Amino acid sequence: VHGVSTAGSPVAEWLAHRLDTIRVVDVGCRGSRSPWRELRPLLEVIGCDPLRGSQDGSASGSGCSTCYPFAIAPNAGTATLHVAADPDCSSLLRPNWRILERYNYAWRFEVERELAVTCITLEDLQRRHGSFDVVKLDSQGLEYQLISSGMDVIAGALCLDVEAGLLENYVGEYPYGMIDPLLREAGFSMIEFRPLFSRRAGWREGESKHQPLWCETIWLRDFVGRAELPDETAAAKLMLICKALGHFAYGQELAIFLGDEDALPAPVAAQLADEAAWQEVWQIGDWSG
Amino acid sequence: MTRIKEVMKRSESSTGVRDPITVVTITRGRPELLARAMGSVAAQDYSGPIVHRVVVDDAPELYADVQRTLPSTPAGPREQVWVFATRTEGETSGPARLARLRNRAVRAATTRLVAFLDDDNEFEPHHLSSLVDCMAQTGAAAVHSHRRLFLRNGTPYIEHRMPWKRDRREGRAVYEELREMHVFIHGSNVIRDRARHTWQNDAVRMVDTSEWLFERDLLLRVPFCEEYSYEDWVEVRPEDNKLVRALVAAGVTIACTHMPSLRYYLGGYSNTFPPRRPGRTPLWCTE
Repeated sequence: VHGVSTAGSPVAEWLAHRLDTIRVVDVGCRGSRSPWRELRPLLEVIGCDPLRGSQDGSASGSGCSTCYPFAIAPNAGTATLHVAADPDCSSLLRPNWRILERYNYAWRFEVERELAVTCITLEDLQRRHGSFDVVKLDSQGLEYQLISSGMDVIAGALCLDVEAGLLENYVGEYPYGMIDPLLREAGFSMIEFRPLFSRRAGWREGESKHQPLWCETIWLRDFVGRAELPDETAAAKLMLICKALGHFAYGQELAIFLGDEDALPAPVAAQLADEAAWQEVWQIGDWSG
Repeated sequence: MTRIKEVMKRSESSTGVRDPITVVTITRGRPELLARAMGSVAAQDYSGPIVHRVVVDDAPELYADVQRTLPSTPAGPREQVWVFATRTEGETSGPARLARLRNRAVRAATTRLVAFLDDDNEFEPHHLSSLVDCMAQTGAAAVHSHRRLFLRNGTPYIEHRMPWKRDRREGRAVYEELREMHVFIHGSNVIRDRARHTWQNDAVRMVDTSEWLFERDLLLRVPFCEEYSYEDWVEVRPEDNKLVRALVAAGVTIACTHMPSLRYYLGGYSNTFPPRRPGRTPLWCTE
């Protein structure tokens, strides 16, 4: 699908033949961050955010191929969105003041209005758009429920990008500690964990260390750990994701495993087993990295 | 009043008028655990009225202290109704007795919504409000949560064995089968119970009574089964198990919150198996 301009190398030829559009579902797409924004030329992004007003991706400015003004929830129907002082803290769940009042970011969660919003499920989106390679969740406390209710969608993904609370910032939020075993059981390995901090109420910047309150995590399907063989299109997508995320070692390990299992053409496996291949610039269509 | 407290007050009072719920608890032989269960009902963040109907299948005098337990600062109107049930001759503990008492409590309830809480379990504070929200969102007449399993002493249960099997080896085998279907999760005490319809091609039909919220009319149409065979005893198919099957068979729309908002403590009759003495009738058959 994409033109690979580094013609001649086995990996370039293989990617040109095997790589297909990487399909991303972006839940809470208003605040989408890199690396997915940087990978846009290679992606088809289906976004959802109830605070977006348009189904037209180009008009919304989100960079999504399609953007729905709906909330993603464990069940379809109409629910109440608690619109917060900081719109990024708006949620289908109510703020949990017993936790929040101890931290200086509490003002961000103050509910300014309640909005009836249409909810759809991850499975609804999959039925409409087909399976997703990347599932990105930034759903303000609903992540556990979305993963639990969307296990069939998660099962088809190669990469998950999940922002999760380390505390119950919302009433009914089940934090990262409960998400972790669910995703490991679903066949994923966490490759990135970025803790995010907030000061305790009354403290200024630099006066004390503070505890992490939520985290950004990235998970890749662990084909090696589970001794499972992806088809070559899935392998090509996962190699590219490893390259884009800077997880060269993960990609190299996967290449060695697939090579040993004769699941990759031998010259491709040999090239990707070489660390040098991961240090080179990969040029695919309009994307290079 | 601080700004945060003002916000809390506004947030907590903004939920509007909500349907009354009857919570039914059948109890026998453990008043101290009942007090814990009652505390969790009283502490619900649900702003609508909750009638906690406690059916005592035991000597009334054992419950005098528990009856004095009153909720402090409830989120909505709370009422306790105490019913003292007497056993007919030969009536023993088990699912048949429980089913009869549950059905009687449902008939006596005057609210549109009915939930259950076993006397040794606890609701998390948002259990009922999340079930009501789920019901409102989906229009389902039967909604349920997930649960977290604990040993009696409060330790999370993470053993790789299904606790509701008489044979430990079989329990381990069933655990692995259910793990494949992500009902059990290694390293987690959450049970992701479910009851999908037959057309969804899923054999797992497992929801504990305390996980449910029902429209009362539905339970009048599809009540708890009051008859139990020897095979039910062998396969450990108590009243909640048979109810799920009956609901699915009746084509009832069922939805799940995907919140493990029930704290389920092991140690009840469905997961404690004393050695069986030869020649004695199994404990809870009605045949």
